[in-house]
Amino acid sequence: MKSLVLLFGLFVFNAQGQEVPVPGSREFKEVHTLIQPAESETKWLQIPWMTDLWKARQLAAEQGKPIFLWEMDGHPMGCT
Amino acid sequence: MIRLIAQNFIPVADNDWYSRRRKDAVGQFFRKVADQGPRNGEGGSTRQGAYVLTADGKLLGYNNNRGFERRKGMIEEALKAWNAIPENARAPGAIKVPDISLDELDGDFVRTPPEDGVILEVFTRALVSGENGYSAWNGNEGDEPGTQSARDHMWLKKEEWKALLQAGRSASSREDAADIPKRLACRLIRFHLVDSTRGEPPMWNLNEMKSYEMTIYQMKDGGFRINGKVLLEAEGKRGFSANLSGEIRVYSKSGRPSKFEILALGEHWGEGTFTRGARKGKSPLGIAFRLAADDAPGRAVPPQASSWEKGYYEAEK
Repeated sequence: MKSLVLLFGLFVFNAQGQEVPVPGSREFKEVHTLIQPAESETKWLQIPWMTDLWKARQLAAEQGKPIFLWEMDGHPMGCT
Repeated sequence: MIRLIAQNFIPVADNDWYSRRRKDAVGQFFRKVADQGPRNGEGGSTRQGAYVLTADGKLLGYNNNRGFERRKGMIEEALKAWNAIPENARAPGAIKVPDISLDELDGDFVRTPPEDGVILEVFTRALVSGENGYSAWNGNEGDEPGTQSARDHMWLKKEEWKALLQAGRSASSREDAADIPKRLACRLIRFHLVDSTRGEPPMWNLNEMKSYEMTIYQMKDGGFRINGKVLLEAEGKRGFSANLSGEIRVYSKSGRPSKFEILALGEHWGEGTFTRGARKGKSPLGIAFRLAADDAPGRAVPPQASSWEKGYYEAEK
């Protein structure tokens, strides 16, 4: 991720008296995009992941394939 | 590795927290498979890892090592074991897996998106700021935990997103902006303004919301503007001080959101039990919310915090 987003011009003070930047509309879009996954971070989504183990069993049986199960504490597609 | 998995397997991603607990046929099947590996037996401990199995539950391979070569090696060995199974036992249709109905599932450990609700994708990234602006934090020593964008989902019920927009329609400027319904504000703050960049994050207790303000108003062009600021702090151990801004657009006919974006940007400090390795002191953290596309991968995956479903929906209590 090489993108660089300009610092915001407007600041407000939070409850601790610290300055916290408030984005304008252009900066909002840039930082909002910066936070989202870059293309290099989503290659694993090229795998057509299912999220229902039972349906995966049915499809594996139907197609005559083994199952690759990625089992994590915190769903891989929701807490990674 | 991507091609290897996509071409040879039916790939499925799952949350062990639910599967090792559920008492229905799905949970029994998963535990039957896990019990053939090293993470077995009774009790609630983790069974996370990568498994290769047959549709009728024979374990062909397992490891919990994320190293590329070791995982690839396990998969290749498991594929050999699969090919060693007599062809008539692994041919299409050789294994029968019955249908399972919704009412057969363990409702305590199954989460479904709210009917006609709104699903938001939530992304979190550690940032750095310099004279010229923000950029992604790339770690101190290269590829280390916490350098990528983390993901979660936020769920809003139909009555909640409608009440949110209704509040917005009652105000037409930032000066007279309406408060966002407390339940929704608390859900967003307690369960989604968290540092999930290094693993399962601790959520915020109600009393750790030291101060917050979240408002909405309708702009002249019909869209809605959200503003807010929060201070979260857990007994001096960790905290997050941030400003929020956002925009909602709606379809003119259905009134449903067509765009729903929020940005939380601020300074985070501290770590949790499963999120060790935080940067020292206070560091920039950004959290971006956006509407999940209908075909978004993992769209129906529940919010991380909804393992405590009642608490998730009743976040103000």
